[in-house]
Amino acid sequence: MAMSLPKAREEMRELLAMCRAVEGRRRAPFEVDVGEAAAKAAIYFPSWQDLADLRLDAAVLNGLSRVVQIQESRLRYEAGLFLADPQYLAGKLAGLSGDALADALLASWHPVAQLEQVTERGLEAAKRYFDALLPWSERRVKPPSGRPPEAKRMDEEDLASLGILRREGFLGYLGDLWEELKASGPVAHEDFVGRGDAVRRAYGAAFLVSYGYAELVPEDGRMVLHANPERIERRGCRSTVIVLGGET
Amino acid sequence: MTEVVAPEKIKRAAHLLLFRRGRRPGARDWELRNRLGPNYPAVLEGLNDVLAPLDLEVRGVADAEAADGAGAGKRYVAVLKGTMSPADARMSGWRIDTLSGLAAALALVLAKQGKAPREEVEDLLADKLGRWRTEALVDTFERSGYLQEDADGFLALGWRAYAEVDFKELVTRLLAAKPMAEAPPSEGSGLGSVP
Repeated sequence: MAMSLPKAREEMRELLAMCRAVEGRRRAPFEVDVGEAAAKAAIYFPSWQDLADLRLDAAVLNGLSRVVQIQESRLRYEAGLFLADPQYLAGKLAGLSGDALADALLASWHPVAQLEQVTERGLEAAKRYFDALLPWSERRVKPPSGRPPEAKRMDEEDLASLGILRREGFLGYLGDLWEELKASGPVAHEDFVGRGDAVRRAYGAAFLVSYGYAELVPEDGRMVLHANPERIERRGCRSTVIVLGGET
Repeated sequence: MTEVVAPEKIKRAAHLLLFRRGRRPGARDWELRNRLGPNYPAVLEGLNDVLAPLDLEVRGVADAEAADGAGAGKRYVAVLKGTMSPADARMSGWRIDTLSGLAAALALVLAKQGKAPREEVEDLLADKLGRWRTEALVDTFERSGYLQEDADGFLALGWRAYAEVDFKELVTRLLAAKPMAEAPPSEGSGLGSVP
């Protein structure tokens, strides 16, 4: 029989692919006509010359034998259990509703009855869990949202309350100085700063005047300090130079 | 002539079968032989008589893990003799879509002669339940013993499917069910719907 070798090889490869598909449950086993395939392989066999062709022939025969096995088990399966076509069943499943599927299972389902019980191992696991469990007061706290708090302006009081700025530092000194000025009433600048460390007191007095805690008023050729009962807002300030150290 | 079984042995058998002691429920055949004696089948018969009024029965299923080298081993479990109503199933924590997924997976494996590629099972379920839920469900069915997967990625029926499901009844019901297009308009069967 005249037959081109490439065409024969192609047919044998197709047969092998079909056998593999049946083995992989991708094709129905009776889609392969084993008798016809075996006869075809027998016709081609005298034409094979290469080792590769003979290996392909052996692979096809092996595949066909597996297909026969699967066909035999399919027949036993159908005859013994269902009397129904499995392919039809597989095709029908996709078209059934969830309720129909669940109803079918419930009608054929006999679940195992079992009782859970406390075991030594379970108790150990429970104790480990309980030991690691945080108190309820900590667990019920609302977890952080993961977003930073809103930005806001902080004043000296806030900084002092957070401990960043110490009240008894320079601010405390200014407060003391302001209280002293209020207690003493209007006083000449040079007298006021001369009561102690003149430079430090003059520095503090300058702050009091600049920030509105006191007024510096020229009276009779002298600069007199007046304490303000409350801090006032300064607008349009101007600088004044006061020479300390008396007569040079 | 029926063998007389000591009530003490029936009680012991009930404890062995009903109380879960390991990963799987029930008791293996060699375990029953050791604890109840060589006449353990007679003891199980006696236990069956006790369980019958409770709608329970003892069933033996082939268990590869129970094989002791001398042949196929068996695991004995107590199962519900009748069936569950949808309401009872829901009360037991089973969702309707889980049940429908299990039915479809078992039926497809059965239709493929007890072995189906995992992808094929997942494709069928994903169409109804969604891909993400399907993968989780198939894993759950495997863990609970309804399905088992081999090294080649094929799903087969697990020990629990053999123990709990009447395959013939399942297939008969599925073949008799009407496809969605032919089914009459739903009046709400009370089962919920598959998302």
